[in-house]
Amino acid sequence: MTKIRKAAVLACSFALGLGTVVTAQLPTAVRPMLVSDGHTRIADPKLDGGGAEATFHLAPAGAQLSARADVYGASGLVKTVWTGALSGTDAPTTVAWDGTDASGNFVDTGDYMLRVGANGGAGPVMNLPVSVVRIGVTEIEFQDSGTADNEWQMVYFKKNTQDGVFFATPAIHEYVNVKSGLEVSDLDLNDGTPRPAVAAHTATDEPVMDGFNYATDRYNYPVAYVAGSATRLEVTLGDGGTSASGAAMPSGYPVAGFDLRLVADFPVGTDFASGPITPGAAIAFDGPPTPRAVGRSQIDVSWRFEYAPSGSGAWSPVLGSSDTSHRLYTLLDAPKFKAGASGTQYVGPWVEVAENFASWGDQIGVDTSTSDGVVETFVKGFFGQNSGIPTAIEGVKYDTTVLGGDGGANHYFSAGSKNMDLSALLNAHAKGQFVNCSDCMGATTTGLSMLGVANIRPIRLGPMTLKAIWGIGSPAYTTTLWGFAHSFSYHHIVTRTNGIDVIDTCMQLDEDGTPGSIPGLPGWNVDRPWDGPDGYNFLSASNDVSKSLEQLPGLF
Amino acid sequence: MKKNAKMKALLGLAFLASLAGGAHAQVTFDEHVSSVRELYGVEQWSLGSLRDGLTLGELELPGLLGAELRLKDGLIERAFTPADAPKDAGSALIVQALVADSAEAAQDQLVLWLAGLTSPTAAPTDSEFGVDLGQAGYVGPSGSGPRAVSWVAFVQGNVAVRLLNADVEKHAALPLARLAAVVDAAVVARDPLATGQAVPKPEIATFGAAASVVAGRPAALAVAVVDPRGGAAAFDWKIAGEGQGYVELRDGAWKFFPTGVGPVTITLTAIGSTGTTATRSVEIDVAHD
Repeated sequence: MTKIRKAAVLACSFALGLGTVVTAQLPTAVRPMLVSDGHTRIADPKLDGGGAEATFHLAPAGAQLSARADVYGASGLVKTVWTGALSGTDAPTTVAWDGTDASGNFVDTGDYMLRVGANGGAGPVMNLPVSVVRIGVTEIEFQDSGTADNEWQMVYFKKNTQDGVFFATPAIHEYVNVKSGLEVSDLDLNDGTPRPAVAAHTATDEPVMDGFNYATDRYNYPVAYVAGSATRLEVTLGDGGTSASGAAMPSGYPVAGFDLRLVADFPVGTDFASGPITPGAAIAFDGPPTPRAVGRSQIDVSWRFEYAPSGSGAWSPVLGSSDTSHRLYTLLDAPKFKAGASGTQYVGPWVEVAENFASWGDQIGVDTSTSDGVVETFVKGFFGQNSGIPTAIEGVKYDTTVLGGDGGANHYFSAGSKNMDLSALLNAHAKGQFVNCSDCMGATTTGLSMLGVANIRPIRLGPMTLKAIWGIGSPAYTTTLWGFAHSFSYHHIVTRTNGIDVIDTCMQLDEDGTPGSIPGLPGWNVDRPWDGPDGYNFLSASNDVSKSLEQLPGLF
Repeated sequence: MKKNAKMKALLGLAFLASLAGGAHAQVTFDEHVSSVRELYGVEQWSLGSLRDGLTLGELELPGLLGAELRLKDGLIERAFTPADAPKDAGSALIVQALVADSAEAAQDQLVLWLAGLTSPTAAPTDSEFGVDLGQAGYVGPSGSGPRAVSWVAFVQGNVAVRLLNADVEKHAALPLARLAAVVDAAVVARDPLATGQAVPKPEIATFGAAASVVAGRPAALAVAVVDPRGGAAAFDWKIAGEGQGYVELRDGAWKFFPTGVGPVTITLTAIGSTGTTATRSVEIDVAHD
């Protein structure tokens, strides 16, 4: 008997850290005893998989008991969560409470008691305190990492079908999931159920809309970082929730005697655990590194919480989590802007360009972790056709009468201002399916610069008596571009080596050894040397073509 | 007086001849523009009367429905869709215009449009398509149909206009030259300005905002614009600087929604009903929330 009593005392001592009471009320020879094997001390039932659990067993080995587990709140019984038979020879029993009452509604934050005891009266009783809290992430801001300038706000270019209306993703938080209108709290809906996480916004032309206006309360915009760089996040915690009755309720923490902390679990990279948290707090920390390739990927985060007796460092999980997923575009380097441009982001269709590039990268399969790979992917993706991608960007065609166009007019590039209407081009070629060389140059220079390729500049070429060319969107090589003639009054191409090598997304040259006649062998103009037998000057024209460097265009 | 088509064709042939000779011709953009001016005989174009502009936002074109007037890269622009087209159908026609302070400046705009042509020959004149537009007019015939037209551009006094067929394969029958004549007539319908009278512009009578705002909290903008003919002005907003944000009309009032910390310059361009513009800016500092 002494031994049994001593064992009971030891059991009490072990479990009291999690809060438990063990009683032995029957005659000593057969007196059953409930022994706690641990339980959830702090719970947020509104997290995915959230709630409270208690694990216990009956002792001694010969004891038997018909038992039940009930949850009690300030006003009495909330819910019976378990009934069953216990035997001293059974493995420990675990019961779970999902945080709802008998009607299935989530209970308010506050103090509860999970009581395990004999079913029907006399017998051992075990009271396990549970503090219900409301905790979660409402805002996430992606930031530069340390002193690096490696994170940027991306830009959409449409609003209700109209292009040229620009909206940069907010720098103060790319992810927002808060109340709107008459709603009571950020973390919950007005019926007391948790506010669902916001899925990543996958449209690449238009931001999240609330009627005619930009949405301000719920969105999950993509983030842009330099490829292969560190990330940094600042998250804001919700403050309070909404009860099932629709009333505001407090967060329910801090809980006396306990610390709470935030844990961010990443599929790759190091997880993060914060210090003690308070409702509404903002917490900044380093996230996982970005992929080395330029393109599109995803940052998945599982937001969890842990508690520990104050100062103990013995952390236990708050059951459940809330997960967010963020679309990530990686850039080769900092985006490049037109000289003199003011602002921290392109006023242009940045998300659309990044998504186009990512799509091309997926299809073409070139390593995009280098500038060479980025340029090659861009040229082949933009031009399409002979790269294996069926059509040119937006299905455009070279602006010649033979193909149905006209005399090669600018449709998207403004010769006067030297600005490019890339938004209209990417809005299903809103100013016409036909493009000329300046349109292609304007799109290529600004697009590659958005992706972080350095020193991208236009080159204006003088008159050209052409050899065989394959114009963008054309069905084949031609030596009669205009039907009656085969020459240019000027031509616009691109360079990143001040003209030593050139890039042309508007046409392909003929590499079959007889560049002046058809058929032709497609030759990509991906950093093609200007001079030499395989050079652009020789393969493109029968005259010696003059060239002059111009400045990177702007956008409108 | 208008340059006749025969003269232009001869100049075009001369241009081609310079190519055939392998001449190391114009290289820079300015030199290219000079050659284009020569090709089209711009010096022979007469200067038309100055008018207060083009009421493009109110313009009605037969069989077409116009969208709202916009400002794009300094030009006013309005898209039109066929009246019988489904709601989500794309535009069929885009009309761009510059209401300049002088006839010379309007002619410069027409030259810039013509300088964009990569074809070595001059574009055909408006008269070849049965219309007589302003002091100079040119047409971009399309290969999409026997009478299909991709663009028409002309200058009428101090107003330069370009009509673009937004989908010439789909809308090959769009009578662009006749529509251009309607636009030209709309310009001519405005009374010529008196000698020495400046082209009237809208006035931004009020434009103000708090000097400092907090990121995430919308701030009211005080805006009042006087249209030169008492019509309705349109608004174009640009945000520049280290900070970020956007401007929207909410509940009848313009508001700035700051979304990034730092100084911003909000530039308002008011587009008057006659197509002229006025611009003012305010500086605002966006503080951290």
